Amino acid sequence: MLELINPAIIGILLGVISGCIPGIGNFAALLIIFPYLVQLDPMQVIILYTALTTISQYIGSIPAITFGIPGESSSVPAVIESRNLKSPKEIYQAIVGSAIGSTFGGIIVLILTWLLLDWLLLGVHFFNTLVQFSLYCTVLIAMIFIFKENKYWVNILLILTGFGLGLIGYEKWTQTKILTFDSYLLYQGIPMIVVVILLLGLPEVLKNYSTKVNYKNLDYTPGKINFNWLTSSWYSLLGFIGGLAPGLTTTMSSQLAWVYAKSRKNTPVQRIVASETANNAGAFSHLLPLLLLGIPLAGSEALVLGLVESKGFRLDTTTFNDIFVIVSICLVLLNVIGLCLAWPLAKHIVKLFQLNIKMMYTIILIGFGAVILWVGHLNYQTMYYVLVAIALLPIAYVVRKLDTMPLIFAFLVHDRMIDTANRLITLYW
Amino acid sequence: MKKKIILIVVAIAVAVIAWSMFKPATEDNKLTILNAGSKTGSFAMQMTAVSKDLQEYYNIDLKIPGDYCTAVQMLKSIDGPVLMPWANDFEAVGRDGSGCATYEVKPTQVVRYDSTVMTICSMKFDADSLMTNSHTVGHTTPVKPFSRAVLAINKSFDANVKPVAYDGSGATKTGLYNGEIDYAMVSLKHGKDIIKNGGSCFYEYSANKDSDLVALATLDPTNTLLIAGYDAVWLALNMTDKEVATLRARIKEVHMNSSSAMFEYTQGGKVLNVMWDLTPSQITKQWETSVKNLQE
Repeated sequence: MLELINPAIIGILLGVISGCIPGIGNFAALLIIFPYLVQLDPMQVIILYTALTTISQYIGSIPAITFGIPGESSSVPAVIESRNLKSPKEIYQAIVGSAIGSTFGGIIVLILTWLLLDWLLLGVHFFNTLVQFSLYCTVLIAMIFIFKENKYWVNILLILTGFGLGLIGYEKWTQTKILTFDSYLLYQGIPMIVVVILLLGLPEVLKNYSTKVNYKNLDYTPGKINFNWLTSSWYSLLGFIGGLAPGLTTTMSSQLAWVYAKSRKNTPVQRIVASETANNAGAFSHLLPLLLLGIPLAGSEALVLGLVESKGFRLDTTTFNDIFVIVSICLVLLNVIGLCLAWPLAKHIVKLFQLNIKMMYTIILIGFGAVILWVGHLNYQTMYYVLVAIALLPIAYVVRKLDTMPLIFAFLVHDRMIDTANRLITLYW
Repeated sequence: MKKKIILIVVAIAVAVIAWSMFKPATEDNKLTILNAGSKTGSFAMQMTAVSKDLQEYYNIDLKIPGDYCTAVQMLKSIDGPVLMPWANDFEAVGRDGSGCATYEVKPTQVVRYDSTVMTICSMKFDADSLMTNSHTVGHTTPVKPFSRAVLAINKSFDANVKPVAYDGSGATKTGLYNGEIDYAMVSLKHGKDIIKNGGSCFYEYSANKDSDLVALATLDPTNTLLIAGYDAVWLALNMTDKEVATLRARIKEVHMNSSSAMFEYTQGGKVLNVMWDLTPSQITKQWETSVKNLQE
C-alpha cells in the first residue's frame, strides 16, 4: 500500500489544478504528467486517476460558487446557481453543504456498490461482443449530441477524423497497411500522446487563455447547515446512475440532480448541494465499467485504460475484486481529504486565483511540448514524434475553437470498435 | 520582490522533484526488455514476470508498445542490450507478405526456445459435437494462420465450424465463458485455466500420439495445418557472445527458482515446454518448421 501514497498525492494535487483551472480537465491534467504516468504500475495509475477524479469534483465547486468559473464541466449547475446566492452566509452554506454532500455521496455509492457487487459480477456474463459494440456506439452517438459547443455535423466530422487518424498504420484484423506510404515508422500508427496533446490539450488551453478572474477574498460568514441525509441519498443515487452515462459521466450526475432539485423548487443553496453531491457519487460510478470490464466511458478513462494495458495488465472481472478493495480504501481516505480541502481549506484554495493565470497556461503549453519530446525519447523515436506533431499542427489550427473530445474518443477506441465490429460480422452474418 | 523570490524557489523545487521523478534509468548494466506481443497477451505477462526476476542483475527498461510492428521499429533505434521475444505466428504472417515485419532468428541469439500446442476446449459441448454440428471456434490473432487452422477441421473431418477472432487469449476465454463462442482454440496453459473453470479440452493441434488429448494430425496426417502451435524464441540482441551466455544462464536460473515470477507463470514448467538444450541446428529446424506450418 505504501507505493500508492506518492501517486495518490500527485493525483490529489492534479485534482486541485483540474478543479480550479478552466480548460484543464482531468484529461489535460493527465497529459501534463504523462512521463510520470508511464513509469507507474497499473495499480498506481488507477489510484492516481481515482484521486484526480475525486478531488477535482470537490475543488471544482469552490471557484464555481465563489467566482462563477466552472473548473470542471460538472460544476456548470453550481456556476449558474452561484448568481442567485445573495449573501456571504449563503456562499458559506453552499460551499460547506457541497463539501459535506460530496463526502456523503462518495461514501454512500461505495456502500451501494459493495452491496451490489455480486450482481455486478453476474451482469458481466451478459457483456458479450454485441453489448460491447453497442456501448461504444452509444458513447459516440451521445458525443454527437452532448458537445453542444459544436454543431452536430461538426461532431460527426470530428468522430470520423478521429477514426481516420486511428486507422493510419498496420491494421491487424485485415492485415493491411493504411496510409503508411511504405514508411515503417507509420506502421505503428500515429502516437497517441501526440494526437491527444495537439488536438485536445492545445485547443483547450488556447480557448481558455484569455480567461480573466477577478480575485476576491472568500468572505466566510458561518450560517446554519441544513443537511438532509434522505434527500442526499436520493441525489447520490441519481449521481450514481448519471455517472454511468457514456461520454457525460459526472456532468450527467450533476445535471440530473440539479434538474430534480429545481423541479422541487428548492433554494439556490439546496440546488448547488444537490448537484455537487451527485457529481461526487458519479465520480465513483463512472469508474466501475472501466475497472470491471475495461470499458472507458470518458476520454480520460480511455487514456488510463491504454496506460494500464501498456503494462501488460488486463482490467476485467478476474482483477476487479483486488482492485475494488484497494480503490475503496483509498476512496474513503480521499473523501476525507476532499472534505478538508473543500471546507476548512477552501479559503486557501481560492488564493490560487491570485496567481497569474496566463503564466500558468504558458507553463502548461511548454509542458505539453516537453511531454511530446520526453515520450518520444522514451520510445527512441523523438524525431518521429516531433514530425507527427508538426504534421498535426494544421488540424490543431482548424479545430482550435471546437470541443475536440469526440475526435479524441474516436481515436482512442477505434481499434476496439474495429475488433468488436469484425467479430460481430463473423458471429451474426 | 518577496513574491518573486518565493516563486523562483518554488519553481526550482518543482524542477528538482520533476527531474527526480522523470529521470531516465541509468545506462549502466541496462537491459531493455522489448515486448513484441500485444499488451495483454502471454508475451506481455512473461516479459513483465521476467522483468521482475532479472531486476537484481540488470537495470531493466521494460517496453510494451502493444504490437510487433511498433516493437520491431523501436528495436532499430535501440543501441544497447535488448531482450525481445519473437513468435512463429508473426513470422509466418510476415513471410506471407501480409504482416508488417519479419525477423531473422539467429540461433546464437536465442536465450530461450519454447513451444506450446494449441488445444480445443469448451465449457458446454463435447468432442463429438465439434465434428458433427455447426459451431463457432474462437481464436487469437494473427487472424489468418489461426483461422486457417480452425478451418482445417472442416476440410479434414467434414465438420462445420466457423472461426471467430479475438484480440488475445484472455478475450477468447471470456468469449467462451459468456457463451458467445462454443469452442476456443487456445494454448495448453489457457486450456488448463478453462478446465479449472469447469470446462474441458479435447483436441490438440499436433501429431503427438502420446498426448492426453486427441492429436488432430494423427487423425488426418495429410493435413499439415492440423499441427499448429506457438513456437517462441527469446532473442538477446546487441550483445556479445559472453553477455548472451550470461543472460541465458540467468533466465534459466529464474525459471528454476520456485520463488520467481517466471516459475509462477510457467507453473514450474508444467504449462510451457521450454527447451533449454537445443543445438543451433535444432533451433533452426524446429523454428522453420513451426513457421511453415502456419504459412499459407
